[in-house]
Amino acid sequence: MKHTKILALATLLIGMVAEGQAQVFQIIQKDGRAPKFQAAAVDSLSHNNAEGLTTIHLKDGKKETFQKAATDSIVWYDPTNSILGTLRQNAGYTLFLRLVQESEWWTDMLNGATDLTVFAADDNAWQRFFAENAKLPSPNPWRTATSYEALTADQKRALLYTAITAGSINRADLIRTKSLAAGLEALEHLSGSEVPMHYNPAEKWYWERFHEANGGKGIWLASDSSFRYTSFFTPEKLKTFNVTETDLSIIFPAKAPQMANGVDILQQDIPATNGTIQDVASPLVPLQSMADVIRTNGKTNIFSHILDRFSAPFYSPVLTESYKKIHPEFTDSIFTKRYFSYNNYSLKGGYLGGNSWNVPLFEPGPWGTYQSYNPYKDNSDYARGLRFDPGWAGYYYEVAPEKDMAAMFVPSDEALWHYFTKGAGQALILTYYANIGTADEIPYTAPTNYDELYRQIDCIPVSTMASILVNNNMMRSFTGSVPSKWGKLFDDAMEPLFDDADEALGQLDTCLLANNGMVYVMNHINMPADFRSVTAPAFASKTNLIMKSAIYDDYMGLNYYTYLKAPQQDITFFLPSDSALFYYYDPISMKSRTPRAIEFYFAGGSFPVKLRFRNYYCPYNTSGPDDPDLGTIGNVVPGANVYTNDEVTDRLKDILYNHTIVNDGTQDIHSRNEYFRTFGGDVVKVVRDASGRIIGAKGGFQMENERLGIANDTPGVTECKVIRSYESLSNGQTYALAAPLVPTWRSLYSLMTNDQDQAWYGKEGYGGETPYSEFYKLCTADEYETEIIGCGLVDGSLPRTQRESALKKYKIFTSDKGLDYNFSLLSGNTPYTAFIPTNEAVRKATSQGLPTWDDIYKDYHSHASGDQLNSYEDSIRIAEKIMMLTNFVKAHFCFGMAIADQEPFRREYTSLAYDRNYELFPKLIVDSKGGQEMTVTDWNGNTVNVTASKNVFVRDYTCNSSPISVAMKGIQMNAHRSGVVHLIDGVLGFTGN
Amino acid sequence: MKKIYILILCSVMAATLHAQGGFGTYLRDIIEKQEKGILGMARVIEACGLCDSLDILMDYEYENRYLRGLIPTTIQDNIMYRSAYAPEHRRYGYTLFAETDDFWLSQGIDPNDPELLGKLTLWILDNFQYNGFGYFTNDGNYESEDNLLNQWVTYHLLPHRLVPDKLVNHVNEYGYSISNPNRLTIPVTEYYVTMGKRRLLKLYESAESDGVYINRFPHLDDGRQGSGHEIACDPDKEGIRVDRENYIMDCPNAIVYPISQPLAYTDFVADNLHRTRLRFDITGLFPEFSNNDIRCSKITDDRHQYVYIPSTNTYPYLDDLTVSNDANMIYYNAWNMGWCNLNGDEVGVTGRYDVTLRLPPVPREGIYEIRYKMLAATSRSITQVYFGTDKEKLSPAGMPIDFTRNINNMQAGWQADTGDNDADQLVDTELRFNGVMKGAQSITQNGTQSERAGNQNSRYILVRQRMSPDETYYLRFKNVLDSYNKSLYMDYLEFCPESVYDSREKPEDIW
Repeated sequence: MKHTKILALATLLIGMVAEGQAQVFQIIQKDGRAPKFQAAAVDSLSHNNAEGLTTIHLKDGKKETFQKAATDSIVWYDPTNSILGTLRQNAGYTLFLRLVQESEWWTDMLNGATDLTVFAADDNAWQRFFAENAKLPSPNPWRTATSYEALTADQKRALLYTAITAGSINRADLIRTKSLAAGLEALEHLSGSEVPMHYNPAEKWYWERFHEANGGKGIWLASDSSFRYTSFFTPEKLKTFNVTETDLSIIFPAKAPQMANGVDILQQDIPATNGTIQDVASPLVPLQSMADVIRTNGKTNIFSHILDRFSAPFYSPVLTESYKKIHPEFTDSIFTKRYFSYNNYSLKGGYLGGNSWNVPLFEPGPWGTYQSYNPYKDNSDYARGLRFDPGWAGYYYEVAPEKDMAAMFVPSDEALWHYFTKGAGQALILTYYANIGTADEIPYTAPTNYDELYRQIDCIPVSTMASILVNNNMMRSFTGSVPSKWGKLFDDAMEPLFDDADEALGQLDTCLLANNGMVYVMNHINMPADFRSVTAPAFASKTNLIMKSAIYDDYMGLNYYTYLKAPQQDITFFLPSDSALFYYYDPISMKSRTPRAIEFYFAGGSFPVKLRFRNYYCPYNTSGPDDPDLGTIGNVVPGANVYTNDEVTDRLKDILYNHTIVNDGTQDIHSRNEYFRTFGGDVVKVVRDASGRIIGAKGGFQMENERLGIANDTPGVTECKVIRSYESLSNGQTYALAAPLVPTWRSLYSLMTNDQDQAWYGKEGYGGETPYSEFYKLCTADEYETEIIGCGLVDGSLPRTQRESALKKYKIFTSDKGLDYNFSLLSGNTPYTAFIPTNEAVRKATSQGLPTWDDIYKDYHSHASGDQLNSYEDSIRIAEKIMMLTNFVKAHFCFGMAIADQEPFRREYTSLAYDRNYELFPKLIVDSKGGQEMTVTDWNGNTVNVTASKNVFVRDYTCNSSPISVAMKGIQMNAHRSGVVHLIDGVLGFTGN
Repeated sequence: MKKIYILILCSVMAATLHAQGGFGTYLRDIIEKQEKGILGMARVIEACGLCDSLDILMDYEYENRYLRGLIPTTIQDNIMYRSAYAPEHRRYGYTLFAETDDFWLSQGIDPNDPELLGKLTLWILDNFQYNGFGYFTNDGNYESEDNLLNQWVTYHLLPHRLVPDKLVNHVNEYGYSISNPNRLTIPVTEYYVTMGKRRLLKLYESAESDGVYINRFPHLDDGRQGSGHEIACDPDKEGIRVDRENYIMDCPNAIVYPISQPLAYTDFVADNLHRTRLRFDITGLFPEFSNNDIRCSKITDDRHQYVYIPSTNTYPYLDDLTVSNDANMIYYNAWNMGWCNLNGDEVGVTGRYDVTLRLPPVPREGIYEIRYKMLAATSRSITQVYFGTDKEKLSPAGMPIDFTRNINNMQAGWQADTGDNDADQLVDTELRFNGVMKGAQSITQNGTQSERAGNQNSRYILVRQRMSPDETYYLRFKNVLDSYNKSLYMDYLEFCPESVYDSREKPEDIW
């Protein structure tokens, strides 16, 4: 086809006609008219130069006159080789031709001068198309198109408009092209029962007046009024966007590499004088939007229901008037279905200014007019926004709509059913539907059909649903989210969308192409980590507000959620509910003036967690083990509601760390073991039922109370029962507890001496001989500073601080603002094990030459004048004895907790003894055959057995202020150190004289 | 118009440089002219097919994008409140340690001999100049990385162009001052990854060594109260002295150091490396920093002090480090600013960073700790570390780490050194148990205050696992806080073999 500007109209025309260069020519007028003439029909030409007129005289007697000034150009072409002509010359396109030729206008267009691209299917393809349509699910509007005769006028129009697109589609950077279809081809009538609905009475139901329940008679609905796009993929085009052939083979398995609207292009770019023909394997139907694909494909009904909560009907005067022109008998109104979103037709169309959240209160009308229509409840509807409107055919984000489209990862019905009934989503249902733990609690039963499920999930606030959907499943770019890039996709929280891209690929069910994006139907849920990790039961909860605040809020200064959301971990999280946190037995208060139980409660505001206190009856404020009050909670502590926020955060941090177990390969909650180290270095013991399920747990406090023989039903005194288990979370499991796990108050000193300090206060039943007494006597270096300094091990002339620091390495216990005396061989929050020889074993060792402090004292003072030793040799001898004794004691402690448990193990532990020759700390080998039997072998090869007295857990605290015999106001734990104590039937690191 | 002019000028320059040729052309020239000196080495390099890649002078695509403004030339650094400048070029460069022709003649091998390759291969085998634990072929396919001769010659080549005063870097080692640069003190070491099959080459210099040596393994006075100095060196561990006086720099992208002893990655070298704690300055891992005069530049203008490296998507400037889009990477040269980092410099990646680093190889199969130096600050973040061999599928290495906490407020047992060995050793052991270590004694602020003394400095033990020299490992650091104001600090990392950190004979030194 050729164009030419008018230089001398008459001359040109005469020339063309004479030479037969054109069989048809069109004279394009500046006013838009473009009459055309067959050259063979022209009889003669005449011209009037004075007036600039040229007249064409046709053989049939008609004539047309043109002004040169009013003429833009002349176009001439040979219609034999036009698109229509080319198709006519090829046998087998009768049905497509029939479709075209039903419209004179389209016949002219395909024969004419306009540059077009046509997607034409042959007759066989049409027959296959009709046969496949019969198998479509019932919501699909093409289900009835089972023969040419069965096609409705609207369907014919849709097929035709979709098959033809203006211009060339071969630019490498375009993957979509605007077809001429717009809106009405997908018009459908939803009956009064088919109208979208939801069950949440707190939200506006935008479709209410159309639903039969309210007397509504349904609604005429077109999904969108914007032009449809036809997607056109070839390997060359997609390479521009780094979309690989493997991506294409995944998205369209068993398809040719080039396709339009998902249909194979069998032969590309067949030339014609007015464009190109793409021979396609099936007639192109206008694709539905992603929203409609999700609604009609049969596999994603639940997700479609969730999406509908973000939708509302908007009256469309444009479509209504257009339709009425075609169907004058139509008297109803046509609406479009829009979704509340941050990117939509109205925003991009310039109908909105300022903030992007508001969908307009009107619909654009013909020629720039507007019709007022307000379906909104109130301005808070903006909070319901999706990332973009999935029903908007003309979707685009940053680049032109021809260059990209969107994508959505949509969980299948099966995946969503499992999520809400068995997975992390159950926590949402329990919270928002069953109101678990609140006064409005209702019994929860698992749903048995979709309607029952919808009633439950519709109780989840739409803003919560928005953050689940917005953050994770809606991708702004199709080319940026093809399968080869799944490993690099992140949600808004910078979490990888897929923990394992290959695994995600294995969970891809189907790929469905829409006119505005790709729908990946997944047998997998992409939820933000907040909703699928071990934090989920706290995050989406009305009854775990305290722990949610502790995990997420800034005042804690912890960002603890980063640990609990850590991907590819196996974490066990014990979650005490708000009511459970009424029973926090403050461990550092036990030897204060007011041993207490702290009640945490959630008050909201900038510092939302508050405290109340009640008396707690512990061993130190009761008359003894037979006191009936022991282990019970008393009255409110009067005048005690004065505390600092630092105390709150201090206790909450300790709770968080000691309710988290990391199953890191050195321990596994799924094993038979009962004891597990917490993230904070303490120990938790789990209680299992006969099948191995965890039904309870104990912290050090609970275990110590049990050891003391306390037995009462007060929550959390001897056990914390599991009230609910969440075992299918993405990075572990969460157990909701009826009371919090509390670490023990019992220090190593307290255990070894039976609270000798209490005896000093005059209380009965404390002190005296214990199974650890003899060894404890070896740990009393703090009483022998004179001797340590006197023999020269520490320079007595040092300033006090330095002298104290130097003495520290000989002392096992020091006073350090704890509940009594702290184990001081270690400085940090470092867990340790104490293998304490029985009294008999110690006596045997001393009889074999192990010095005692008593020996050292006697030796020293029998060779001293005053405090001064008599000779250098005496100093050496005393010093040797002290070092030997100190090292002997230290040999019975090691880094880390060696716990006698069910599973066998054999591990090395670094002792605290010091080998001066090698400047190393030698190792102990702990060997357990399981079933709580354990032996310890030292570096001399000497093996001892752990006796029946094992696994006693202790904890030392260093507070900001001494908590002994004081009121507890403002006292926090600065540091703590947890240990496990075993009694052994021999000694370590000593070979006799 | 100006841009076009510059583009044309660059093209002309490029054409000129091409005509001049790179190292490959230089070596071919030597062969053609039968020039004595390093003729033998040149012939081997050429036979192994390396000349073409040695000829590449610079990355012209980077030049193009830089000039067209497709790479941001400056960004504002919000840590130091200065402008940081992207490098103008991305040059390639090489260092060759070459046995001289005289050496080969002394070995009975004539560099002119047509049978040179075969004879040299035989010499390598006869003299055990190879790694017995490694895989190699002897099939005459010299261009293969598995070929014995190829492995041998590539061990002489570094993809860094190291001028004589940059073979090692004397900046802030203990006792050293840049104001008295000739007064060397304790040893400084660099470990570089060679070309071809990835192996480590150690460069070393101390006050006692009298020059820079390759693969020297001396005895050090590295006790707690030691001086840190070299006190002795067994004759078989002296290594190979680098002749810095007679280097050859006749082509624009390479430098040649003659050596008078044979260099090879032998079992002896690998075993000694395996008994060593290997400390890598982060910027020493990037040839781009060496070849573009970025690392340890003594020029103190902002362009050299604050160097912006674009994100990988903008342009993959560094082959061994990828940086996500939402973060800015800046190299702080910090010359003469007294920063307590290894060599004084550091890298900061600020934003929602996601950084993946290709690690150097280990010398032998075994269990190693990978430690990472951290300087705690409130501008740091909580970071998830990943480790593994599949760059796209690395596994988390433990729980996220809060890099804002210093070693003291971690409650890991930090106490300042007292001078009492067993007390101090106990503190170190307790810290190790809790996954951290104090900083290194050898790294100081201005030569005196050691990084070990401060509780802001620590070394995190990120990984402890079996590693193989035949695998390539990656570390990835990902910011798990949703914040653009947090930064990843990068100074140095260490590979420490089990035989060092868990020795039954002596504790790991504090240096």
